[in-house]
Amino acid sequence: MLLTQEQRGKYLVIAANGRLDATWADYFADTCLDHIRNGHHNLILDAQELSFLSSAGIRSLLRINKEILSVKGSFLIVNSAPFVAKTIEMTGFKQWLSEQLPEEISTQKTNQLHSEVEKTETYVLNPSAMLTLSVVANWQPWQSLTPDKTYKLSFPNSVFALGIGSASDNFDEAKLSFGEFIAVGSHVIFQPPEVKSRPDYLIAEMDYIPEMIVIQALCCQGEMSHLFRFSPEERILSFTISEIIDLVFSTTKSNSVAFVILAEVDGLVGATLIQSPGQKSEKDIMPFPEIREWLSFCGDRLFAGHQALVFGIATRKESDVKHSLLRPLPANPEISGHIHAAVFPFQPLQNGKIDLIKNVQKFLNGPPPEALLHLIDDDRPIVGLGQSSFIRGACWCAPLQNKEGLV
Amino acid sequence: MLKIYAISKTFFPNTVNEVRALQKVSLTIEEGSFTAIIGTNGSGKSTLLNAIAGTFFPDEGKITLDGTEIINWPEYKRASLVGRVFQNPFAGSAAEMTIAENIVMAMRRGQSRPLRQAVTLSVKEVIAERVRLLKMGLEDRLDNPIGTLSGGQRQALTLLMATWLKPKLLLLDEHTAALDPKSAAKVSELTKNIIQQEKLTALMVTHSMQQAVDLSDRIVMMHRGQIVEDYRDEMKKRVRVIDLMETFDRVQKRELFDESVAALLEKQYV
Repeated sequence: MLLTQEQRGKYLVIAANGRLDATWADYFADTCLDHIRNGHHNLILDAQELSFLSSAGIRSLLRINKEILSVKGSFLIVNSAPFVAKTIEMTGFKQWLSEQLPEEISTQKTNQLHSEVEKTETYVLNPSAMLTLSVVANWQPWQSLTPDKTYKLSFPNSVFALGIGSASDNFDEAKLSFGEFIAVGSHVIFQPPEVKSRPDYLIAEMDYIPEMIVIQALCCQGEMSHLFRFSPEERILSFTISEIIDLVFSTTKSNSVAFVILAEVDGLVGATLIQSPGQKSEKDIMPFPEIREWLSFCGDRLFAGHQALVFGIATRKESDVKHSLLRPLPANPEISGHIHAAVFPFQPLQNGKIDLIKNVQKFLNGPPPEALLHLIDDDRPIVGLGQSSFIRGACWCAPLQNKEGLV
Repeated sequence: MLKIYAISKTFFPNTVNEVRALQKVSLTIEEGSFTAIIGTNGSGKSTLLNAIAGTFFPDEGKITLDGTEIINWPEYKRASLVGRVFQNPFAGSAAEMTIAENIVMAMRRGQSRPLRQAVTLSVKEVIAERVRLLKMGLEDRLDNPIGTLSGGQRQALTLLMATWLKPKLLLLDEHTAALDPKSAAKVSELTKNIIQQEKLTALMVTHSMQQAVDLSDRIVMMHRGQIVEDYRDEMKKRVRVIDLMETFDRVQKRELFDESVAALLEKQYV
């Protein structure tokens, strides 16, 4: 089977030449799914040269259609030979068939295989929206823990938070299970601090609002003011976290910001607790190699091709918002920040203006998260892994309104 | 039952090429259990097998087999108790000798082999009966030199020879690694059947995590001359290849966590 693609305005026209049967169905579906992943959400299959369509071929069309529906795109089949059209009609998918190309389609080939979204596009959600940052609990490694240093934090819709906490409801149990968490839109993802465990999550449902006992938490309350979308172009293949933070600063026109990113990962660099700090009885520094028993470092740039939900807080040097939980990023020491990322298997995001909470829900209703990392900027000479970076995605952001420092 | 107490082996000690292949490894293999040893290249898994087989003497430690201390026994003496199948299908048999002659040698492992005709008609019948169980049609080729067989056929025969006299311990050293996928699957199946039927105590070194999960009832993971994970009982029943991969990944990540990473985290992890 030979597949040729042509971008025409917002549509990607794929001409298929050959048989769409069991031999070629997976190749065809994988090629189309790759296009969807790369941001082409309006596909037209030109079936003029398609000589055969089997049930395996129909199944591949269904896979493509399902993916397109999940991102609210469109899928059409044009110029089908009578046999192919009849097969599609008889299997109940007549709605895919069209006798002609959509009216609004560009008559000429446009940019080569370019995504329909520009490098960045910005949407103003609520120009006056702001977030109030508070440091709810302030555990610093490797202080001893007592109940009075913990805080019970609940996560209604308007709260965005990150830190270290436990889903247990009393201190005695919680002290064995404090790990990193991220909370967005009343959904909490947390990493139990065991070498072999996977992240778990709490989803708000009906009257239930997730709660955690936290020992460290940066908590923002309010709503996001802007959304911008980013995707690669010819010269920029990925965006580092500090480049995205720069975009957040310029979008919000503020020196102190909070942001949520949903994006395809190019590579993540970070660390995770593998023992609960509650199990440490004395306040002291953690020397090497003992620290290896408490923290796991990624060791490589991980999770390329996965999707990440990131929440972070960043401030510029000149901002009034300063705190020891906000540490300078070596890639740009003018910026201090604290960022956590939860990693999911890849799911495409709809193009354009999308809703944060609905998309977080969509991710949590899909395959479970695979990891949760405190992002680190690895600036070690020669062996350093660099910053975490992302290929394409969406970033919701808002300025912090802590005019007089932290509350 | 095999008991290994804190054995260590360092190759080329006090030189730039020093390799600490085994570092105080202790392991108890229960009678009738089938244990797989997995690990990265150079992790010490084959060295452990060789230490048990007596290929070399460890620098320190003890090995007992069924209560007998064998640490000072030479390799040929241990062979009376230990059956062994090597990675190289050509290593466990004599190419110029016929299938029957090779098997007759195995039938008298650890016993005296006086100078008289060994391959008699009655012996051949016994051999044909056992070889038929391999379902490879080799029972009709007992007079052919074993060197004329394919790697898979030869390895199947080597396995049969190693278990002809029920050994106290069967050592399998990546015994399917040099075979094509179909032959490897066949030899794996044979291995499982023979070990189950004869209720053998077996130790298998393998690079195939799928094989470790499918065949064995216990999985020991080695790294840098030490045992880093031991999946047994309920843990073994629920372990999957992906879990083993994750454990490998974790072990290697830990390796990359050096002082420079510790310094990095001290600055940035709050």
